Amino acid sequence: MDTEGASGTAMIRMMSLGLIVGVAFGYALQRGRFCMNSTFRDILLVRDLTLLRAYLLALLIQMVGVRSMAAFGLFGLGITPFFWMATLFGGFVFGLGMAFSGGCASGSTYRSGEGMVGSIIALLGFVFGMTMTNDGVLEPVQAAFRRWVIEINGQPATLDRLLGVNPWILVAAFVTAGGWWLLKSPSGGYQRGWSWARSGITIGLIATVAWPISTLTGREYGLSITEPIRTISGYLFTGEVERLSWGSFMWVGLIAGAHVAARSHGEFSWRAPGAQRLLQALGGGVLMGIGAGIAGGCNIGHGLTGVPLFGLSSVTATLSIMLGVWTGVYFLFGSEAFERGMRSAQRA
Amino acid sequence: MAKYSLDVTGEICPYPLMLTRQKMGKLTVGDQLVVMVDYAKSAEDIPRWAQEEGHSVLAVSEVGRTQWEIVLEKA
Repeated sequence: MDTEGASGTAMIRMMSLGLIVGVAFGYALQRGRFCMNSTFRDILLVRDLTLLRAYLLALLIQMVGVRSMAAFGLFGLGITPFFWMATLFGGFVFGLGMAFSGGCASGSTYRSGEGMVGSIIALLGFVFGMTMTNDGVLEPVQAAFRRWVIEINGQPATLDRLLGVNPWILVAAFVTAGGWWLLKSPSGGYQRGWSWARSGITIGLIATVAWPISTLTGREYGLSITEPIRTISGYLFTGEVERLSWGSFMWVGLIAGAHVAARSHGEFSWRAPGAQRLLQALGGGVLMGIGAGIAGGCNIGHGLTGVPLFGLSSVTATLSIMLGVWTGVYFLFGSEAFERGMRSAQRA
Repeated sequence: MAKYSLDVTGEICPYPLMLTRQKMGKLTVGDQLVVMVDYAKSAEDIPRWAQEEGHSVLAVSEVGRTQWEIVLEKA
């Protein structure tokens, strides 16, 4: 009886702490249009760096915030082992899938809250690909790619360990260089939602406080999307409640928060593309699930949460995702997609 | 100086922007293009792209619930 009561309390705490962070995160993602598919794609395609600035700002805030809290002993910095082949290959497949489905893991989630049926279909594909890779027929593929692990002095490889410098020196260097570039950056035009500065600060702060809040439930990591989707589908398909984590509820809160943000700004309605595009979103979603399953994370777990800690697994996965997106755009639109972007670059 | 229209409602990212780009490529200087979108982000990044390319953005207006009309003029 006692343990049942205790686990009930733990479940309620996990649920409420997850939902609070998720709602705030979803609201910020929707107002900031924070989608890494657009972020990476627009660098080459339209030379629009607005979202890249928001992303960089969120990274810089976490570099300082998360590492400071860890230094005070609030939690341990859970850095993913450097499965270099898995992150290289998985990240690329994930990025390719992103380009086809039209949104990253976080983008597809917040757009589901906006009523975009294409994104909901992409998420269903994601669940399918993820489950096949973690618990199904593709599990041997995941295991094969994860055979190659690089450690530095018996610890997960990070940029600071690779360079042999104190991580705070890297933080200072990135904050100085990144901050200088951001200060010179213009604010984006034609904004209906938040400016890049506002979304970057808000998302950076939410991603930072996610660490201590998630730690209260025994989960020492920040925001992620892949793990929540895996835990939710795991629970739904097996009925094992213990599969659920703080992240599961965070993800549910994310959709709700994005829905509230869209609805309160007149940006919610049910919309669906044609049949061909829906199938493309489904296929893209399956590729994303397989890629994230192999790489052990997506653009949030690796890209937003792992990169500021300098884990080489996250840095490699994020660069591979970027490469995958560009390759996907090339498949879809051919080389002219990039040529014109460059022409406008020359004019600028 | 013809006026064209393009309906990209329902499309997923980045088709609204890419289809607008392809259509603008076929127009002659001075032609106008009215783009209908139903996705808030496209109502932001299509005008931003057009401005970057040097085209004129004549209007971005909300014409209904999650419906925006963007009027561009090819330069």
